Amino acid sequence: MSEIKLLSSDQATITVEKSVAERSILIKNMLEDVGEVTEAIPIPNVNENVLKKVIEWCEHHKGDPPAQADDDSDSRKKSSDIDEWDQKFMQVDQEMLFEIILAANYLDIKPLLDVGCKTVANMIKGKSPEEIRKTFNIQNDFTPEEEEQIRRENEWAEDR
Amino acid sequence: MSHLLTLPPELHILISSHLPVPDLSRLSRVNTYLKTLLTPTLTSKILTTRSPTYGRRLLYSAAGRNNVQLIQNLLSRGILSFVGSGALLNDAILTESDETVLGLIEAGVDVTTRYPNGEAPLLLAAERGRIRIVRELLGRVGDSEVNVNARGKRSAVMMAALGGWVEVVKLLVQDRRTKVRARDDFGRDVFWYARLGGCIDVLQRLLGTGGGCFCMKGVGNERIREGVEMGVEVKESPRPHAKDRWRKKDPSAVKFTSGM
Repeated sequence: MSEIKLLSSDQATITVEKSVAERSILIKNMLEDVGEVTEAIPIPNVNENVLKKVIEWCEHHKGDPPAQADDDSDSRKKSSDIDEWDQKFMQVDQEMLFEIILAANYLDIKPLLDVGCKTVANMIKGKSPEEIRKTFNIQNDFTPEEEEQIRRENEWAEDR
Repeated sequence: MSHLLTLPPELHILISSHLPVPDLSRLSRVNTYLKTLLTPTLTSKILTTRSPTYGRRLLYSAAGRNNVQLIQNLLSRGILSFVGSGALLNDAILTESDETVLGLIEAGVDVTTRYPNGEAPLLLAAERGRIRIVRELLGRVGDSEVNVNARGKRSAVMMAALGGWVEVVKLLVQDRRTKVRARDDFGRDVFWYARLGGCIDVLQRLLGTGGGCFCMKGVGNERIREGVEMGVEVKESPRPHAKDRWRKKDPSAVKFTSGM
């Protein structure tokens, strides 16, 4: 069982099974390009905490079939179907959640990116614009008139 | 600081792809950035999911706000392939405001669509007394559309008369293309419908007749209108009852009319 080393943005070295690390298409392609490596592969956009979390996800899902290139349309339709383990895995504070999403995007781990985005989508569902602002700490930069106009413009999209 | 807003736009769009239309719409109402980013996404979602319900609502909303550019964009991207069952304007006339219907017409929606029973937009608008729409359609449709028949050869002017929509009747009668003497499958003319609709007096004044059940033999539209314009009162001439004529032509029709 071969192992490789990853170097996080905060200079922490993490040893990981190669097959686990290859859940990341970025790392997989890199290893294919350079062949055997002994030194740590730098992951400059991801810090140690997040990288460990990502590796934890990869380890749990290492036996999963690889995602197909155009497999995402179906998974997006079922936005609430996050498996139980993934749901627990994503029970982290917002900072970590969005760091995981950014790391998954950077490392090109599509299934993890999907889980992250679905988690955020589920946090948005059923909320009013004001509740969404509150949940994600977003400032309302509309004037009351603009807000009313947008509400009217989007009335068609509301459930009746 | 909002962690959500630290994501790059492509990830906001990815997140939004997991949201149903109402939630996506509410997210787009959160702030200026999300509105700018997600409004086109919302439109695209309607077109990719091909939702007839939301597609129709979006079209009607755009028309009601006179957003011709958006309507034309939606039309060019094929929204009619899943909205309107080929008769979008007809549907809109039944349920939407004048502004919405006029917006659709202005954006170039087909004004000659038909329901399977032959009903055209002009007939539906006339039947419901939608005078602004009737006026607009008369300015846009060809000669053949003015007298298009549906459901037993009923015409727009007949349906307006039946509904007692006096102003619509006037508008249609004053249009020189309207065949006022036309009859439906039962031989009934516009006077018969006007009597039912309670606007026979108006029609008589417009056409200058005594208000028989049928139009005068030998007096065409042009002459009637000319007579009205000149203030000439045109007398009704006797005419055989439709029932009698049907007996001669089609014995089966007698049964049907005897119950009327």
